[in-house]
Amino acid sequence: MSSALTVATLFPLATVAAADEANASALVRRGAARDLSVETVTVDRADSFVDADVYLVGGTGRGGVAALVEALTSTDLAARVSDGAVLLAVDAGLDAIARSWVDPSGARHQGLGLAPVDIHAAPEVTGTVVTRPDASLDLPALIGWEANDLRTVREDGVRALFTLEVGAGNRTDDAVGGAAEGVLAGSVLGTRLHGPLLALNPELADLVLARATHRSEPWPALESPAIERARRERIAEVRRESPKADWRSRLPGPVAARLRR
Amino acid sequence: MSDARDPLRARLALATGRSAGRLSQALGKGSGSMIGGRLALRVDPQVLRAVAGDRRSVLVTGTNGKSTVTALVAAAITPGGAVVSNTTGANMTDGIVTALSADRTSALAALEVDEVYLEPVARGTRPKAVVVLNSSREYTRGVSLKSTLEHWRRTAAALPDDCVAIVNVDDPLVSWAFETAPRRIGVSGGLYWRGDALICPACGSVQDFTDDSWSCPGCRRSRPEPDWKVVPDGDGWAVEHAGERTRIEVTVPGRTGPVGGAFALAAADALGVDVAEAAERVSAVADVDGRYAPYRLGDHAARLLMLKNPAGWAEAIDVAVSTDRPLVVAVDPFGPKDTATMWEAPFQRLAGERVAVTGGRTADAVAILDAAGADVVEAPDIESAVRAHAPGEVMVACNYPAFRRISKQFRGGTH
Ligand SMILES: [Zn+2]
Repeated sequence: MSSALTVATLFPLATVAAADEANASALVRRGAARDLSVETVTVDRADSFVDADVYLVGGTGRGGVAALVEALTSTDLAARVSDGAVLLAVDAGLDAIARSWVDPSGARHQGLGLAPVDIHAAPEVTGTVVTRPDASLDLPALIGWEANDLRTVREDGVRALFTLEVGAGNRTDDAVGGAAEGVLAGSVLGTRLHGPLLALNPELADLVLARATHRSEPWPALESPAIERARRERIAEVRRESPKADWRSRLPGPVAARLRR
Repeated sequence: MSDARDPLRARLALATGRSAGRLSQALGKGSGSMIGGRLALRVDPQVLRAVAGDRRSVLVTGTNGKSTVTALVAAAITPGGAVVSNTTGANMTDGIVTALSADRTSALAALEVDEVYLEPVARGTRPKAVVVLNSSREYTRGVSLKSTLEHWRRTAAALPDDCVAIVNVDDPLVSWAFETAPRRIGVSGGLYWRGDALICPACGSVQDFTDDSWSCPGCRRSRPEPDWKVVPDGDGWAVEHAGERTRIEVTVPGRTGPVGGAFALAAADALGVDVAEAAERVSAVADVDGRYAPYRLGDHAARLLMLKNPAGWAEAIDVAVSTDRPLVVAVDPFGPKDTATMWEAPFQRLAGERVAVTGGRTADAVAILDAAGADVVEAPDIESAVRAHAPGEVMVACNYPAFRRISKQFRGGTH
């Protein structure tokens, strides 16, 4: 193994499970395939916080967000992230690292401010999400799940992590008018997508690993036929069931935008 | 049945609830117990206390294995009198009301209780024993493990003085939550899923685990010595308690069966039932809800397990590995997130082993097992999946819809 990375899962018990805990082991597996040795640790109190290359914070529901913000505030997470550590924040984790978030009563609270987004209440949306391919991040169409009643509003000029073919995402548009999902700002990746996102989408694990190792050139091609087949079947199922998903929406965002003009 | 002793409002509530239950049965919407019970509670929250009356109840709660252990408890306590149980699996307050109002005469009750409803059910039934099996996170429940544990701790502190909390001391979360119970006895119930118990719930330190014990370096809590434990006994199992050894035969494979039996014997003992007699009744339970009896397929026998969360899968994997039985994984579509949490289960314990996969979500199961390094074979149907292994007994680990489909198929469509 050429180099070693530490992946830290932060305060997983503070929030309701979002089936996102396999993201850490997905980084171990994809790392091994990329000749990176990846170690995982779980941090569940502030004084066991470790210097890591990748931080995962997630879960769902707004009940645990206040506790999560409080716990994260008493760590060096902000300093580590400004030094370039990667932070992948899922759903409740995204609320916690936002500039501000809303609790179930509608009251607004300050978040950690690591992601340049503000969170607002919105009607509830649940379902399977398919992203559009993104050549700039070397990502094919990915699969995930959303279940939230929130609108995620990015600061002007900040890019979304994904544009969606199927799904509601942030409830805001991306730069070219597609449905935006999540946020990508520096080494911070925020998303509402539940499930073993990195396990189901190894190319996204590659993106996290590339950012964590400050790698700028693309990874060599690496096939994972079993996962790609599972994803292909799942995406086909979603497209069958989703009336919105016509051929145009499967195109990469910029191409779709040009066709619309 | 309504009873002249009930307060008038409770009698009215029961009458309304029952007719709604019959209506929903007539409309073919399931067993009708949920609708009936829910309506009944909406009319009068005291109704659970009324239908529970003064019978002696055992509550069974936890994340996994509740139905099985409730069935074993119901069998174990029968020497003490007639037993009512919510055998339909309707385990929230209203389902329990329905079960108890359908049988107002049995002096004993064995009740499966959803972990989130323990407090109202304990308040309403004033149980003689509460059996607590385990605790792990469940995706889609919408409740954090932390709030469940705090709820349990509050409930435990408010249990009647003559109630015995029978807790799995191998699970540090359960052990902590029931520290506050007035009376507590420990069962060595095993811990298949350490993922959620790595951190001490009391002080937040990382726990030290050995093969069969745990301790916290922060607050110095450690596994209480169990009063009941399962030990190998020749080719089978026995339960050890107070220097006595009681042989137990349970069809549930692996340690899971005898461990459930140990909880049942402890509950019987708490109700004053003779342990040897209780063990005979437990051993006479051939099957629970079609779940465990092996099905014959020529030279093979298939045992079905139904799994709903990573802890359940971890237990199934443990049974396969520890009893050296080969594994079939059968998963069918069950909503968008049907296989999501399977990624968290420790399938790497099967690395290098042959695992046969079948069902409508074969592609997902293949991906998960392949990532874990298993030697995966795909099979078009359950028979060929079982026959992908050498003759003998095979464990078939299913998600809920695959379990329903395959058990129906094996029973020849009688259900
Ligand atoms: Zn402790």
